[in-house]
Amino acid sequence: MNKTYGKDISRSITKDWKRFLSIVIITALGVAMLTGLYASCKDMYYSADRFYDKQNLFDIRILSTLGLTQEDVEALSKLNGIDLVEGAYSEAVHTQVEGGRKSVTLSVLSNRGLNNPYVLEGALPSNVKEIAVTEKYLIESGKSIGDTVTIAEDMDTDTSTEDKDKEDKEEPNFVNTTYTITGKVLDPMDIQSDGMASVIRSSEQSDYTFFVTEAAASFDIYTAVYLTLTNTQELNSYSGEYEEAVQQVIDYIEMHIKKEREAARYSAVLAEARTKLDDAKKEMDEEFQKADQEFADAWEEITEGKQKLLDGENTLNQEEKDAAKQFADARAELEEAKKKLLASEKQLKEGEAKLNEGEAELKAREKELEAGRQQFEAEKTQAMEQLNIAQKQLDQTQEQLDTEGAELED
Amino acid sequence: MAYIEFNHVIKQYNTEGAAIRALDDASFTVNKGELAVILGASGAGKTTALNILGGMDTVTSGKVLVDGKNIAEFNHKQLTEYRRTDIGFVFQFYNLVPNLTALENVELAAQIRPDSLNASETLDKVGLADRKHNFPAQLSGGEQQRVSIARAIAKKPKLLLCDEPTGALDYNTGKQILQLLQDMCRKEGITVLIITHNSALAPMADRVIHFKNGQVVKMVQNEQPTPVAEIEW
Repeated sequence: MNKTYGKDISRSITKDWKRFLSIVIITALGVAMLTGLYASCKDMYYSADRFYDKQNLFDIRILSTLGLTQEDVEALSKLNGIDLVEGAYSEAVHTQVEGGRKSVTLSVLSNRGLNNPYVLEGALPSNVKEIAVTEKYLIESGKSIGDTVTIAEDMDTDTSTEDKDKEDKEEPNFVNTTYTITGKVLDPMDIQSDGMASVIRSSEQSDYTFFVTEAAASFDIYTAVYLTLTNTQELNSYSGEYEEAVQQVIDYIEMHIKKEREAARYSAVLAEARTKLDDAKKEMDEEFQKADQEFADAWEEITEGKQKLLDGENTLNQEEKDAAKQFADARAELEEAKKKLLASEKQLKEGEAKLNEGEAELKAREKELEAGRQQFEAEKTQAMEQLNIAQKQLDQTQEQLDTEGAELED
Repeated sequence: MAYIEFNHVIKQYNTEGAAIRALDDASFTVNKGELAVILGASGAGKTTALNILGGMDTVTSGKVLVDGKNIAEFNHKQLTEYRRTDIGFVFQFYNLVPNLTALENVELAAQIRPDSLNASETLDKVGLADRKHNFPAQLSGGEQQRVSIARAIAKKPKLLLCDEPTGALDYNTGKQILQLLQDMCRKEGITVLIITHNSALAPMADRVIHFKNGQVVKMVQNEQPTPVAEIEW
């Protein structure tokens, strides 16, 4: 660039400085905007990666429709380049929030720190009575740390399909139904559903995620097996190298372990079912035998009963005959008694006539008695008058006596 | 051997359907120190020929020899070098840098070539000694064209190419410019090629080349060129 050319440039700028400034600002804005976008994007990737590393998030998750067993875990831990292999258990349960039924994924915490929830407040549960919940639950239920939460396991779907024998009925997988909230946590496997910005989205559709200690649950199969790889910690989770490293192991697992374990599990489940079937068959045979015996016994009883019935019928006939004879005798007696009764009635009537005669006589006598009484009354009145006169004479005499007596005393 | 030799040059534009030939087997020669006038109607291929000669366009086939070198075979870098050192170009509309004074415009050209003329002296030669520090906007059309010519010759080019140098000027000013170009040719010994559609200019040239439909139809050697001052049109 020669001198005069430089002069031209500086003059172009000074003469049209407004235009130049506009272009500078536009360019600066554009550059800043693009840089910002790129940088914040990268920053989010790095933050997320650090978070995953810190919470020791899995590299590979293995799921099975039948669940996974300890043998599966052992088979996987023999692989090269594996840091940790752990089976995990979680179950869909329910809880009541504001009167509504909400679904909850109840997860058992890893005791080796795998997929460790990020504690926002409080602490992770340390005993069987404690639980850690997500922020979303606390907000929606209005509860806080120290409150209790009640969960209900969803078992009716299973019992309806399986046979209803008591021994096959599903036992609750969690020891308690009521827990004390000890911490507010962020589920590292589902940082989307808490309403926070995230780059991963969980496919699980439950409303909340709760965490309990391993001791709080009893289970014999794992719902998932999580693997971490030795060489992936320093790789960015969103880089191609990471994907490649993980994909290699996945391919190996799918090629070498998957089939073998699937077959083993299939035959194990099949064998279990066969044993059950055999047991049931044996039981059935026994029951059938018993039933046959009972049948035979019953037949015997029936035959006996029939004989008894025949005998009874004979006896009945005999007794009916006897009874008919007794009936006839009784009727004859009855006739006789009737005749006697008629004769007695006649006597009764004769007695009655005599009684009437007696009564008439009685009435005549009564009249005579009345006449006699009236005579008596008249005589009695006469006597009474004579008596009263006599009394008066007596009283006069008494008075004389009393006066004479008084004169004497004086 | 001629200083400039156009040898069976074909320039073809491939548009959809038909191919158009701007130059169809054109051939001419110009000797060193000559003033050549290229005549022809619009679309006859004059400007295409000049652009090729000035290293601003390429040929489809044929040879273009300038001072013994075939510039048709030059690559981009060689063409840039060729334009910078060997060619002076005068345009119809001057193409001066508006932010630079007359002197600076000439300096701009002089500074891109190692062995150049003094800018101030060059402006004295074209008669602009007292307008050196004026900006193009402060100069008349004729004066601007003079600056343009000064700028072209300050590089000491082998070849001065002028595309309708009087096209935007009035009769008298045009005449002065043509006089200047003729003087440059005679005094400085520069080979000058002038493109024009004005056939009245033919007598001032040593050599007149007629273009028609992309071909050179006539090339006339003028033994006794007329001074510009005597030409009327």
